[in-house]
Amino acid sequence: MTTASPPEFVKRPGPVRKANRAIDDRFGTQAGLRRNLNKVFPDHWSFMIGEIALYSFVVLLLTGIYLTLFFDPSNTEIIYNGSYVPLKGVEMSRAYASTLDISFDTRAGLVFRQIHHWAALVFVGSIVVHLLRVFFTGAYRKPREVNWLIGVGLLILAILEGFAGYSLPDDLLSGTGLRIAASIAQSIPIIGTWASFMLFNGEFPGENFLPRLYVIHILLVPGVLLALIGAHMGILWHQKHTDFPGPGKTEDNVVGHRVFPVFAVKSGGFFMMVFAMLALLGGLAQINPIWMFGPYDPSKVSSASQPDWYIGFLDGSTRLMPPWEFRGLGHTVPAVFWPTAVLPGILFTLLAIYPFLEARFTGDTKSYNLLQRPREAPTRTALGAMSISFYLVLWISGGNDVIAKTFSISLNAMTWAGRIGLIIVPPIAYAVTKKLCLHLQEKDHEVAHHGIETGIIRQLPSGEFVEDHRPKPEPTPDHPLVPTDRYALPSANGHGDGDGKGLARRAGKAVSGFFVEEKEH
Amino acid sequence: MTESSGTSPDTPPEPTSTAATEPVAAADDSAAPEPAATAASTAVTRRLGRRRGERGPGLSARRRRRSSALVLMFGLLATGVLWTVLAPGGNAAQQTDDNAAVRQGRALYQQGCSTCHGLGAGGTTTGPSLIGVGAAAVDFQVSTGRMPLAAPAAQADRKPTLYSRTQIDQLAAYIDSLGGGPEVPKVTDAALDDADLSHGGELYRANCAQCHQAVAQGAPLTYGKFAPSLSESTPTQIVEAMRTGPESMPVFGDRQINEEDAVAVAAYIRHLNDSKSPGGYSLGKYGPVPEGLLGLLVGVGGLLAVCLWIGARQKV
Amino acid sequence: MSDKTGPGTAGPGDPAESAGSVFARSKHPVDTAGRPVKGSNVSAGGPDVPAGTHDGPEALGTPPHQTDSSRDPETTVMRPGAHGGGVTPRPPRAEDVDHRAERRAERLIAFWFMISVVGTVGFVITNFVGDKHKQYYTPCLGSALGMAVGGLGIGLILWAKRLMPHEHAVQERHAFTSPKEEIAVTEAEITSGFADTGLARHPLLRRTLLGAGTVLGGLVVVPLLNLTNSKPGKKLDHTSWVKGARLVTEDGRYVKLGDVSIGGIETVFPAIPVTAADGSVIYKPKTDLHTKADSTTILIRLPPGVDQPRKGRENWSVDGHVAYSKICTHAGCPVSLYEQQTHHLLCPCHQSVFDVRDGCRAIFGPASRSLPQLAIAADADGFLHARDGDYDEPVGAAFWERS
Repeated sequence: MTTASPPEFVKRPGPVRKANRAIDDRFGTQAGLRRNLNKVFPDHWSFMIGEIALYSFVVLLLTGIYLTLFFDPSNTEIIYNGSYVPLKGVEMSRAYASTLDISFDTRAGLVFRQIHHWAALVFVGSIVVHLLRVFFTGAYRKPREVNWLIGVGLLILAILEGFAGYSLPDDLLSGTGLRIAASIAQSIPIIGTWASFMLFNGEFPGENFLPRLYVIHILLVPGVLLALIGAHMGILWHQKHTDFPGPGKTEDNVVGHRVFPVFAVKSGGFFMMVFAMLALLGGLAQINPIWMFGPYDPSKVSSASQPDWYIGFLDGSTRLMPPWEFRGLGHTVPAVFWPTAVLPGILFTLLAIYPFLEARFTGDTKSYNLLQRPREAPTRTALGAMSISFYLVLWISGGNDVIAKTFSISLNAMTWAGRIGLIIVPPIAYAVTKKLCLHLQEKDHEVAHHGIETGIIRQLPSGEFVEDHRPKPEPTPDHPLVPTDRYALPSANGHGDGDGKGLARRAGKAVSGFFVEEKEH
Repeated sequence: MTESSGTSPDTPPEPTSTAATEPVAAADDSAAPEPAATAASTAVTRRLGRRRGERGPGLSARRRRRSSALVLMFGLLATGVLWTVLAPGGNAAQQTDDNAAVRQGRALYQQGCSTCHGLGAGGTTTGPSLIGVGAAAVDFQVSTGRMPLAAPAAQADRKPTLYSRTQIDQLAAYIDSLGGGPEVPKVTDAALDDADLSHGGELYRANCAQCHQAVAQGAPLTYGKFAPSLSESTPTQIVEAMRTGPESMPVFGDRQINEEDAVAVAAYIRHLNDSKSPGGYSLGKYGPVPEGLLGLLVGVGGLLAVCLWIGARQKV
Repeated sequence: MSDKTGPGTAGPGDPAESAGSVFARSKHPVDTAGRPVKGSNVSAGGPDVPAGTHDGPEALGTPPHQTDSSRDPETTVMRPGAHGGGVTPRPPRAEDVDHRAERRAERLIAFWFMISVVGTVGFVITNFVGDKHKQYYTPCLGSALGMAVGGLGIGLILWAKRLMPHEHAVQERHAFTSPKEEIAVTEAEITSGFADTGLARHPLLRRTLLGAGTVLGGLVVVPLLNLTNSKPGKKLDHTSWVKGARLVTEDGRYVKLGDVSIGGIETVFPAIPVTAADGSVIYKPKTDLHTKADSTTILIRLPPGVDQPRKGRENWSVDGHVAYSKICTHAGCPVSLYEQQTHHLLCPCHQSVFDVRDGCRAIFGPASRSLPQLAIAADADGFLHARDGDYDEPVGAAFWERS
């Protein structure tokens, strides 16, 4: 079997070919284009979780641009005279009034506002799920630690970006959140008061704070996000995606679909699906009905004031925190400092340096392209489960008032359950997970060495009963292996599988695309 | 930018001058309690049919002590029906004869309430004194089903009413006769429709939202107590609660929130309850917690399902 | 796409197909059965078994034959090093062998594309013709948009899954580590380049450059400090309350004795006394957001005998009326969930509980400081006012400079 013989050079090109050649004349794109279009991506469904985040970010950009056309990020107080009757004549900032106008007086304003908010929730949510997939399969191991670091940075920025967006409409809920943010900034030792004043331009609520927040939300953070997403994907593209082990899969190859056309079409379709899901949520499920919360007023508050879900764990940690305020030498370190500044600092630092910690403690400095099942790394999996349970206790505590009301539990009991749970649940999760992993490993070992139980009981001549085991069948792929190059370039064929020594050879391989080719027998 | 906010107290076009005159008017009313109470009770009776009809479907919503309440309700309803059939005079007599109402109220009281509140309503270790609480407190507690208490708890919860409108009025008349307190307020539909909704909203956010939540869905207080959801409350009950401060709730007297403003608050709550959500399903109006759950379970979860579908091998 | 169906690529019906194009192979995958692939680590000449070899006739007591999912390579073997022994052809899809199935798939995909068109048209119509004040408006727009993009999405995915070649392409990875010689050359070049700069030979140059860089870096402080127009100073220590300021509600009503019922609360702000030209005193309510942010005060009327004032604060209340800062000492939320039976004040943000009877001492939750108390008195007309002026301690969340 061979790849097809080289195609003829088309003498009378159509418009697309013409464009292609015009670009190639100037940039020399053909080899790179060929290489990238033929790049192989593995197929496993869990490798698409990151794509959810990417596509919801695109939806965020699209809907966000629409919203900027109508939103007025101004603290200036006006009297509302729009079409929402229960707020007519109420004094409010122009930011809040324009958000009301987007919701009630702009065509398709509310639906895009809601899509934007749902997309933000899904964006951070899918980042977290993607992070869990990467963590539990060990995909962050060398050589991919840098992408892990960028990913952690993306998560933090996404949370910040979400909080900024939540705070922009200047409704009662967002103002309450900002007030707490100001108190947190104020709680930092030594620089706290200055930090708060610099953030808000003076004492809370500050002077013209919303324009500042607006710039952060629509320019600064999205710009950095965009750059980091570009780096994240560029590194992924360069390093190639990891894959689960399987028949025909090795540390040195990727098995899957090529970018063009199957992967591209599937991904394009998936983008549409993400957009559709967000559009349906945005149209059918009401989110953040700011008109019901009223404009922000530092003297007012609604009970059950909650942040969006991704801030919830910090709200929970703040609620669970005992009143430990340190005073002395004429200074104070407020209780709010520990759960809102120190705790996330520690958590995100640990998250960021985990790949290096693991390499340090296991002494494993090899590079890996094949993933692990969670059971194959019991300590890591147990640590992950421990962290998740820790996070969940905090997260649930962040909504403990709503839970207390919904299920008629005492609020104080919820707080105490959270405080105790935070200490005892994670170790239990660690122990149970580790045991489970070891048990599963044992079972795998059993099957590998003794075969699969058949259920056939046989009596031996000695009278003893034994159960028949049959050997585990060799795994068989259900697909043919095909070359990724549709056409072979004569120059590349000549070099065969040179082992990469020498620049000329490497360049040659780069041109031909490092592709496996089936030899004719 | 915030220069204009210095004038904020004047900006809502609210007749603050009436606030000063209102207490006088209220005092005038209290000078002649009897006819006012009767008029109120008939007005309330007229509205009762509609109100009960509305509450029908709402009954299915979270009834925790349902079975015990049901048993109690049947027992008491049977007694009540028997009483109304057998009692001398009945409705017609009650409208003309206030003393008869007080007598019947006393009988009802001794049957259903005296165990806890004492035979003379002076209170016992298990129930507070009712002398001086006024008709509004009785109407609120009994018409929301909080009294009689089904079982001791941190706080009485709303449950189906055990007494008929007439019986509630009789109970109220009896308690009122022991010593005056706030009367049952007159909240007419016309007044609700005329109320200044945005001023009611401001008052609601300033005085009510901190406990009952911005969208009147209620929230927990300390140690098992809670501010109830107002989604089933009638405007009359809302004004009664403001005036009497049931259980944990602070009292908002008419010198703090005058009659007109109280009706405006009730109108705003009615708006919160009745208004359709323009953005689709309202998720229980409970803000970011259900939103986050839906976003994660349906949004992220649904998209993971799509991932599985795309990644699934083609069936052959 | 259209240009790609020329002779240059392997479109269906292309001569290249018969010469062994990808399409041809994936449409007739049996052709490639069991060919070991050079360059990959698939062991050459492994058992050339077609799928289903292990599926003998079912007998009682034998385990069920492998399901599709257990034969799925991703889930079957996940341990590194355990490579499959061979390559078996993947059975063709219905669309690959049955022309009618292919047509059906095509029609199905086209149907979804048409759904998308319907959705788009629906969106445009709803957007322009629909009444944006009606309840159906937003749900209709969302559903139509969902249909418009979702139809396209489902169509594209079906297209890729059903009609595009179901191939499994294999691509080699390359090691990232460069050859030793190359590293050596690069390092040498950088070293010599650095030597060319002369930094090593000119310590003065080196030190002044370092110094200039550090000083320039310090310039970052300037824009940072410019972020605030007002220095903190003692601003956090003070509120707008002054001696004699009346307690005024948001509506502009001055609170008098008797306005608040027993068990009642009122949120109040300062009304600053200003002496007019004719010597009379008028009061200016301050209810702007900045004042509200620190001066908001909650006035509570306790039943007689309930209040247990702290030492030195015995005269800070009038007739059961006590005034405390409404700004939580924990994170600054307005503490206002007052329970008139237990006299607890609950903060809705982080559930700190304050005991009003005991000087608003923090008794539960993360707050550690009592709410500051405002000394109030009543004048001859019964109007309540701040007796001594401002709070005697900073209100709201604590900060570093606070003792």
